[in-house]
Amino acid sequence: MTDHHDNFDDIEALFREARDARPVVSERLTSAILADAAAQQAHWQAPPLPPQDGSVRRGPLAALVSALGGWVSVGGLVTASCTGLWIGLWVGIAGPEVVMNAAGLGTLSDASAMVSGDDYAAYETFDLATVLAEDMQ
Amino acid sequence: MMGLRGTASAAAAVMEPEPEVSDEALLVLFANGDPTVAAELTQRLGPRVLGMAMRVLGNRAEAEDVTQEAMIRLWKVAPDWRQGEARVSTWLYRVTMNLCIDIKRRARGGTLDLDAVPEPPDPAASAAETLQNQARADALQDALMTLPERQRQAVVLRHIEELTNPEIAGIMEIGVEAVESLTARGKRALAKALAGRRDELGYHDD
Repeated sequence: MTDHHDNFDDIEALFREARDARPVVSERLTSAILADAAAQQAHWQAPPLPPQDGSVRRGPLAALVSALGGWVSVGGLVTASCTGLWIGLWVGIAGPEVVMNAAGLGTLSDASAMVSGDDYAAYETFDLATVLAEDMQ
Repeated sequence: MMGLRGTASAAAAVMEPEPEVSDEALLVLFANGDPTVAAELTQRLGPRVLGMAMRVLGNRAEAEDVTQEAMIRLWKVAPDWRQGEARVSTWLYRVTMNLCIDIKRRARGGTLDLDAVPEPPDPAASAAETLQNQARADALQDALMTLPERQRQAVVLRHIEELTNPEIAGIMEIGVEAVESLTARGKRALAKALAGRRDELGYHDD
């Protein structure tokens, strides 16, 4: 029993010595670890900002889109153009009377029929060409 | 003599003040791009990782590789570190232990490198004492290497790294009772391995 305790005391002493004798990390290993750390930090860095001296060159398409107000505006423009083209083709194929007979447009023609003769006379005297000519002066 | 030295060092360890800035705070600074904190973290954690790896692997070259790899993993995890969930040192011990286990799996029957546990020079010790200290360190490492791997890991974490049983349980991914069992059996096996070497190790001088 005494021997058993002696052995355990010896082991405790050895553990204490081992704790006191932590290994020193060599300069070579320290340098390698710090190089890894720097590389990792560099990896996280945001990409460099573009130069602010106006030297950025854009392609002609990008310039055109920008001039038209960006991609959102261009999207609306394309939609409106396609709609107009579709209506034009439809009228060209089916004839203008089809447009006036289309559902919903009948009421429009009825409304125009309700315009009085005095209103129409006032409208007839409105000459757009005259107004524009006055503005030019 | 040994008892006095041991008591003094234990007292110094107890009196050692906590660092003003925690490991976790340094890790957050590192993740934020502070280029100065990696050196401090390496100085604090590097020796602990290297020491544990050397004790578990019994080979300094492999332990250095493990240390570098463990630190790389620390740098990489920094931006995703969840504050307050785990101690940085405990997390690092766990990573290190897993790396050591991987190495052991790849090369069963690791060899003991006699240069694996260098004793730092002690100017107060005589040449004979230095030799005897070296013999003791080697004897401990020899005895540790005779233990089954899990016992060795538990003994190193408990008695050399001085971690708590719950911490060790987390690192080794086992229950606290299993840790207690492993450390108790490991310590008994060490006592057996070291029995008969008392005179050789100079304990009759005490």
